Amino acid sequence: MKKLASFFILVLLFSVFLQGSYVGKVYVKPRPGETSQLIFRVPKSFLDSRSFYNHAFGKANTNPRVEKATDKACNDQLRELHAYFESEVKKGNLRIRLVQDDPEAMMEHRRYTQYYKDLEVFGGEIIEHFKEGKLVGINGEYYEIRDFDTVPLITKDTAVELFKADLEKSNLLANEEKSKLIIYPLEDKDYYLAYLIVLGEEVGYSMTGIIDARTGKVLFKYPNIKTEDLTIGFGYGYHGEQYKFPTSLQNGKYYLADESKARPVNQYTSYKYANSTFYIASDDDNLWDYDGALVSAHTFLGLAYDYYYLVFGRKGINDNNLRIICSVHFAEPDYADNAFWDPEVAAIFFGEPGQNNEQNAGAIDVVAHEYSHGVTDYTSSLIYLFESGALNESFSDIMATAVEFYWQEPGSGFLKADWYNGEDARPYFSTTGCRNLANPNSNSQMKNAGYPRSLWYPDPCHLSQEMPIIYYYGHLVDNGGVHINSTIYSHAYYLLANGGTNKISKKSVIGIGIDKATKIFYRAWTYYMGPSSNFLYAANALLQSAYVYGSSSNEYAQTIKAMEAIGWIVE
Amino acid sequence: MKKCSILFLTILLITSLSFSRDRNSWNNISIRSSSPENKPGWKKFSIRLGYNVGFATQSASISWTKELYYEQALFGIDYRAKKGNSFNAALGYRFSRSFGVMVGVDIAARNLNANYDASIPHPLYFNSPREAQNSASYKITENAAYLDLVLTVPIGKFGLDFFAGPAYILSSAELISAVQYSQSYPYTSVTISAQNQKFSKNVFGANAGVSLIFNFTPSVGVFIAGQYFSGNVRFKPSEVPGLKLTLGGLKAGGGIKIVF
Repeated sequence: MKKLASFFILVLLFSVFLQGSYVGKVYVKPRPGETSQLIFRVPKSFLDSRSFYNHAFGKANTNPRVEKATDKACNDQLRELHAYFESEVKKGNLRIRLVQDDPEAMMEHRRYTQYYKDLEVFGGEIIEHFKEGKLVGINGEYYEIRDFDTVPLITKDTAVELFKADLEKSNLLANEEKSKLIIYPLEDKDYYLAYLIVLGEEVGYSMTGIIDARTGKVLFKYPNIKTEDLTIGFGYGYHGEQYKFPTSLQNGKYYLADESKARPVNQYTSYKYANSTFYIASDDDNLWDYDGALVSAHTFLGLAYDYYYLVFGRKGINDNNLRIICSVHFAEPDYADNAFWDPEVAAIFFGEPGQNNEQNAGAIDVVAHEYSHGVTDYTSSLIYLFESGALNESFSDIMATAVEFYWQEPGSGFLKADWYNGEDARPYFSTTGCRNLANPNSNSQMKNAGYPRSLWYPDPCHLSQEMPIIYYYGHLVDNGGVHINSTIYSHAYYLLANGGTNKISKKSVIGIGIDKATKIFYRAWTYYMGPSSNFLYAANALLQSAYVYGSSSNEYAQTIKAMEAIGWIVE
Repeated sequence: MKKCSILFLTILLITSLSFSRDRNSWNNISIRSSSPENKPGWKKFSIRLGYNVGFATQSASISWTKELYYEQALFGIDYRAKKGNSFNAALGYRFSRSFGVMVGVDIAARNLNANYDASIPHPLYFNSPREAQNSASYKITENAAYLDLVLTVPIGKFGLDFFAGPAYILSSAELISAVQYSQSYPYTSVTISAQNQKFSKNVFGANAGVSLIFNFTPSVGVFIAGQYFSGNVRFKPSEVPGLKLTLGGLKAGGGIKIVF
C-alpha cells in the first residue's frame, strides 16, 4: 500500500512537471520562405515538445516542425494555452504591444511582449489570432524563466561606453528612450541580464547592442539601418543612357519622388504642372522606360544636389534641404526649348521641345544651371538685370560646367563633359547655339534669338565686348544682357580652370584646375557678392575669394591673370 | 580520411599478424586458466585520461553575389579554424593479451576566425562600388565518440597501443548566416556586419592513433599519444553558401592510464 502511494505521488509530481514545463517551450518559427505571421493550429505534439529546441533571437531554428492536429485536440490545447497566457497577462508577464486588424481575413492578431520582473524579455512575444472573435491560433516565443537575478553589476552608462568601445566609435550618442535593462535569452535555459543599448549618429548610423549587465561583454549587436528601405528605380535617360535614382512606392505604384530617404532632401519630378499642382510621374514596375526626359531630369537634379553636398557640403538649394522639384513637359509655348527656375514655387521647369527641338531636361548642365539659380536666390540674390543679372547667369553656367565635369568623363559628344552649355539638350549632337565658355565669340545668342543682323553681337569674352543695353521695340533685350554678357565671367572661369589665352587681350592664364577654380568662384558668388554686385564688384570678390590660397599662391596669381585677361587692370 | 584508412588497414594487418602469434599464447593461457590460481597475466579493463594538443588548422573560403541596386554585390568570407586542444577519456577492454577494444570521447573546441568583405554597389551611381571588410571570432566544437580496436604490444615496462576505428563527431559552430550592410547619404562608404547562426551537425568519421605507455606500477602508467580524427561536415547557413569543414585532424598529447 505504501509503495502504491509512493508510486502515485511520483506519477503526480511527474505530471505537474510536464504541465509546468510545456508552456515555457512554446516556440514556432516559420521555415525559410514562410511568412513570419504563420497561423497554425497547436498540435498535441507541439505542446508536448519539451525537446523543441528553443533558439534565441537571431539563431533561427532551421527546421521547426509544425504539425496539424485534430480539431478537438487543437481546441483543447488552445484553450489551455490561452488560459495560461491570460494568467500571465494578469501577472504582468505578458503585456499587449499591438493589436492588428486583418479585415481581409476577418481576423485580429494580438501581440504580447513577455516581461519578467518588469524587464522585457528580448524577442519574447506571443501572438494570439482571433477569427470573428474566436481564438484560432497562438504562436510566438515564450521563455520559461525562474528565479532569475535581475540585479545588474554594471550601470547603463558603463554599458554604453563598453558598446562604443566595441564599435570603435566614441562619438555615438545613446538613445536613452530605447536603451534599457532586459533579459536576453541566448540559448535554451540560458538567460542573460543585459542592457539593450541603441547607439547612433545624427543620420544614417544606428546600432543595437546587447551587453551583459554582469560582465559587460557584448553578447549581440546588429545594425538598425535597413538599407532595403531605399527604393531605387532604374531607367533610361533622354539619350537612352541608364540611370538609377530614388523613387517611392505608394499603393503599388512607383513615383519619381524621394521623401528624404535616399537623399536628405525631398525630391520630386512631375510630368505635368497645372492649377498650381505638380503631378508626380509614376510607373508600375520601377523600370522607367517610357520617358527619358523625366528620368534624366530626376537623375540630374539628384546629381546636382550631390555635387553641392560632396564638394561644398551644401545641403540643397537653401543649405537647409529645401525640397527640390522639377516639372518636365511644361507645355507653355513661351517656354518651348527652354528651362527656368521659378523662385515663387521654388521649382525648375523644362519646356517642351520647340523650334530648336531642345529638351533641356536631357542635359545635366542645364539642370544644374537652373538648380544653381536657386542657390543664387539663397546666397547672393543677384538681381536678374544688367550686370548683376549677367553674373547670376554666369554663376549658373560655371556651376553647371563644374557639375558636368564632376559626373561625366571629359570628351566630345553626348554625355561628355565639355565647355559648352546645353549641348545635350537636342536629340542629335550639336554645339551650335550653345554658350561656349572656352570660346564665347564662336556663338551669338543674339543671332540665335532671331534679332536683326545689326544686333548680332557675339557672346563676349572680354569687357570690351560687353553688349550695351538695348531696347528692341520698347523691350529691354535679355534683361540688359543677362545671358549674353554672362560669358565674360564664365570665360574667366574657363581660363582659370583650364588655362588659355583671351582672344581680345591676348593675355594667358595657367589653369589651376576645375576644383580650385570652382571653389574660388563659388566662394566669391556665395560669400562675397550681393544682389546688386556688378562686374567690378565680381572681380574684387574673386580676388578676395582666391586670397584663401594665400597672397603669394599660384591660385591667387592666376586669378589676377584671369581678371586681367577679361579686361581688368589689377593694381 | 584516406590517410586514416591506410593507417587503419596497416593496424589491421599488424593485428592479424600478431593475432596468429598470439593465438598460441591465448591457448596457453586458456590451458593455464583451468587452474583457479593461474589468472591471465593481463588486466582486462583500462581507463585512459588525456589531454591533446591539436595541430590541424584549416581555412575555407566562400563567396557569393547578389543583385543589389541593379548591379552585382560581391560578398566573401574567409574562415580560419585555429589549432585547438581536447580532453580525451576512454574505457578499454582487452579480450586477449594483445587485443582489445576502446570506447572513448574526445572533447575538443577551437577558435574560428572569420574575415568577411563585401563590395556593395552605390545605390545611386553605376560602377561606384564601396568596399568594406570586417572580422568576427567564433568557436567550433568537435566532440567525438569513438570505438577502436586496440592492439597492445608490451615492451618491458613500456607498451605500445595501436588503435583505430570509427568515430561519431558531434560538431557545432557559430557561423555567419548573413552579411548585413549599413550606409548613409552620400553613400561613399559602407559598413558591414555579420549576422550569426548556430549550427549543430553530427557526422560519422574515423580515428586512428598510437600511444606509448610507461607503466609505473602494474596498474598505473602514463602515456604519450598521437591520434588522428577525420570527418567532414557541411553547414548550410540560410543566406550564404554552405561551408564544408574537415573536423578533427592530428592531435598529440599525454595522460594517465589505469588498468584493473
